[in-house]
Parts: sequence; structure tokens; C-alpha cells
Amino acid sequence: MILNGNNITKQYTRRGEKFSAVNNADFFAWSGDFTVIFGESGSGKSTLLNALAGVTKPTSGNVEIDGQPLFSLGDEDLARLRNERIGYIPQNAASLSAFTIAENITLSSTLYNKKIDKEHIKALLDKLGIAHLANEHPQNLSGGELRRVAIARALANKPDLIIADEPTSNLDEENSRKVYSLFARLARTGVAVIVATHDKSVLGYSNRTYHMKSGALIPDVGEYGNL
Amino acid sequence: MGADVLIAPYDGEAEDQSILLQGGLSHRTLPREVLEFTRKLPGVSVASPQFFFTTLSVSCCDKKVNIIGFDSKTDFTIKPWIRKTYKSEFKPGYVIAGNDIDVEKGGKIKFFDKEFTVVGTLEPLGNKLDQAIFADIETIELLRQAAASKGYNFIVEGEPSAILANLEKGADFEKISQAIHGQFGDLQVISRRNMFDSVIAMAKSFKIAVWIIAGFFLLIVIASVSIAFSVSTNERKREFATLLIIGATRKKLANIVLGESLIASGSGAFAGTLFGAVGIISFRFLIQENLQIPFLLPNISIILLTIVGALFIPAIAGIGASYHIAKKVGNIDVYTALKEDA
Repeated sequence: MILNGNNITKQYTRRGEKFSAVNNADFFAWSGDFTVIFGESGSGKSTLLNALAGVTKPTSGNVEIDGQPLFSLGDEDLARLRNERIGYIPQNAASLSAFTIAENITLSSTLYNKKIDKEHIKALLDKLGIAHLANEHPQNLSGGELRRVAIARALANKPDLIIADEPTSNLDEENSRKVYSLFARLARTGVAVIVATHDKSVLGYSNRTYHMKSGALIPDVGEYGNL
Repeated sequence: MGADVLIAPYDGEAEDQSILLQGGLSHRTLPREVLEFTRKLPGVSVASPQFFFTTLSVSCCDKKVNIIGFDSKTDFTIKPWIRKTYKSEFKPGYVIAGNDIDVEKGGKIKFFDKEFTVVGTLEPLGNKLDQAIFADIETIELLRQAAASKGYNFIVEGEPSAILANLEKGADFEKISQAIHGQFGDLQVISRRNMFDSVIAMAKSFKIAVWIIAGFFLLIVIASVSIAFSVSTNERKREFATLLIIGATRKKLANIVLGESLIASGSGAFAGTLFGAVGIISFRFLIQENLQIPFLLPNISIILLTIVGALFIPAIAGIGASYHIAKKVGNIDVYTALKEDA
């Protein structure tokens, strides 16, 4: 799997003026990469991840997976690609309050009437320490538990690209370590993992680092970089 | 009514429309001379008396029953209508029952301990005539005698409750009316045009009022669905964004909103139709009484068409009202949606 982003620019209008949340960013990730993007709040990390995950069309530039430009796909094809190949954990992911945690996690399979791999789901819930919450409803869970539910949901379909925006926000050290270990294990099996975070503890797991500042994405060869 | 002229006792508030629409019957009578006087007037081709009574003393019913007597030899209004159920000669002791009278054709009905034979039952009219018994004047005389034998003398022999007349072609109604009024004071002479003009005007006003009320409620449906879905989808923006992230198409998101609005407005339409039907049928007599209009169910195809309209129009209006919201949800920006509500 090769994820390739070229000259990604995303502009928004704020107080009547255009500004670039992401400015000419070039990005790539291979199967087995564990890539980290550091950057301050408002630097454009989330916007970039939205573009890489195929949920926000950039103003210019393109994103390709295995040579297939994502935003030239129609609504249905792009949705199916997101469902089958990308596990995206956005910063403020929500759970559907009408469904149980188990139903929320298997929703990506339910959407396309796919058979649910119960063993895989059970293993995920165990690894993330939320197996006992399977029959609860989201409103009964804490922020940290909901965060782990969002992670489990993103991994439920066994994607070959995981994009996680601040996956360990709301998580204590122990649970953060569990999440990064899980991502690292997946990366070793060939999954491409991209994490945007402030959490420096991720450096022990990653093999590629970017730094984002004012919309510009800079491959990091400095203090934390290992290019 | 089928008559050109109706002559009835002047009865204060009693209105001619009530006779036409409600089968409302005045129990005052006309002087017996009015009939002969009217028959002899130039321009009058035929004049026939009618007799109205109300009695509780009847075997079939625990509520008041109206008895309408007519002269089968001269009648031209009741007989043609009754002929649909009874075509033979009216013999003394024969009666025809209105649709609400609980007695079968061929059955017997007792007034003042005297039995009368029911030779026909009428189709429903939706007014008080459904609770009436129709009888020829010879049967009315038997009834009068039976009542008198029991000490009830409420039927005055030979005094009609109303006279219905047809005019010759070119006859001047005003002259006839003046002649009758000139001879007899305390009565009303009403022309067919006067009777029907006011009835038609009333029916038209009622129809307009019903359409205005229906339109008003449809607007309420549209406004309610639009507001409710606008609020609810706004609260669920993050859920829609999440669905998009895990692989739902934008079209699917829009369809979720449209589907929910169809369920909401469709259920509302179903409940409204059901309660409306139950309410109308249960309170039909009250409605009839208060609005002074007949209540009659239309044929099955009109009922089905009305039900289909009552179910589909609000459901479609609900979908229309939520369409712009569905479109908005289909174009949701994930980044903004997740960030705004976080």
C-alpha cells in the first residue's frame, strides 16, 4: 500500500478572508510505516489527515492510494474505499447514541452488510480494555473509553491504512501505551499507520516523523526525526 | 326536495335549510284550509300535505322517532324516493323505516300497542330523516286512533305540518306567495330557489373552510418537520460525520434524513387519519347537530381516495420539508462538523 499526497492545499474562509489550513503539503507512507505528524494546535494536522482519509477534498493537489486518485472517485467508490481500506480516528469522533458499543464498533461492517468477524472484534476490545463495555450505550462511557471505542471502530474492518488524530487524548499513560503498541504491531503486519499527536511517547514506536507548522508539512530530520 | 314551493308554519328560529340539510321537522301545523286554498290557486299544478310527529312510544327505539306522513295519492317528493325500496301500493298499516331505525324489512313495529308492518328500509341520508318512519295518511290515521285510545291527542286530524307544491310552467311564485300570505298570516312560503341558494352557499362556505383548515394543518406539518429535523440533524452532526468516515456515502446520509422524515410524517399522517376517522364517526351526531349539516359517508372509492390523500400528502410534505436539511447533511464537512460540536 502506498499513500501519496502531492501539493495538498486546503483553504477556508475566516472572517471573510481566505487562509490555507494546509499549504502545498507533500506526504507519502508505505505499508509498514508508522508515521507521526507533530505540530501545535491549529497548525493544520487535522485538515491534512481529513484530506489523506478522503473525507475532505483539498482545494488543490491530490491524494492517491496505490496510484488511485481518491477525489476523482465517485461518492460510492470513495465511500467503499474509506470503509474497506482506511481506518480513520478523527480527533473528536462521535459514537451513535442509539446503538450499543458493540453495534458502534461493527457499524462499518453493518453498513455494507458484511459478515462481522466476531473473533477479531473480541480481540480488539480485549486489547483496548473495553470488552466489558460491549453492551453499554455511548452516553454511559467516559471520554477515555469513548476514545478507545473510536479506535476499535476504525480497526474493525482490518484496514491497510490507519490515520489517527490525537488517538491518545483523554487516555492515561497505560492506555496510551496499549494503543501505540497495538498500532506498532499492526504496522509490523504491513499496515501503514499515520498518527498526528503532541504526545512525544509515540516516538518509541514510529519510524517516520513530520512536523507541521502554519499549514506547511516538513519532513523532520531534527531532534525527533529518523529519516 | 323536488318541490317548487314549501309552505310551513312560521316557526321562529326554524330555517328552511334545516329541512333540506337536517330533515329538521317543525311540529307546528298549518290550518287545514291552506291545502285546499293552495290547490285552487292559479299556477299551482299540485299540492300535497305532509305530517310530522315525534314519539317516544315505539317498540324499536329508546330515542325519539320522527314520523312523516304523506298523501300517497298526491305526493311527488317522498314517494319517488321511497320507490327505490318499495314499489307497491301503500296500504293502511304499512310503514317505511329510515336507516337508523332498528327494524328489518318485513318486520313489525309497535306504536301505542298497535303493530305496523315495515315494508321497506331506506338508504342512509346522514340526517334526522334516518331516524324517521314514513307512512301514508291512512296509516297516520290508524296511528292517531291508537294514540287517542291511549289518551295521547298530539295528532290533530287533518292539519298538515307542511305543504309541498309544484307550479305550472310560467307561474309567478311571488303572486302565489302573496295570495297565501294574504289569506293566512302565520306561515312561510318558500320558493325552491330560496331554499337551494342558501343551502348551496352554505355548502360552498363549508367546503372552503375545510380546505383552509386542511391547508393550515399542512403548513403546520411542513413547519414542524422542518424545525424538528433542523434541530435534530444539527445535534447529530458528529454522528453523520462519523458515519461518513466509516464508509457511508453522502447519498446515504441524505437518505437517512429523508427516511426518518418519511417515518415521522407518515406515522403522524397515519395516526391523524385514524384518530380523525374514529373522531368523526364517533361524534358524527354531535357534528351534525352543531354544524347543522348532514353526515353521510361517501362511497368506498371516495373513502379510499381520501385515506390515500390523508396518508400521502402529509408524508410527501414531510419529505419536502426535510429535503433541504437532507441536502445539507449530504454535503457535511467532516472537519467542521466534528470540531463545532466537540
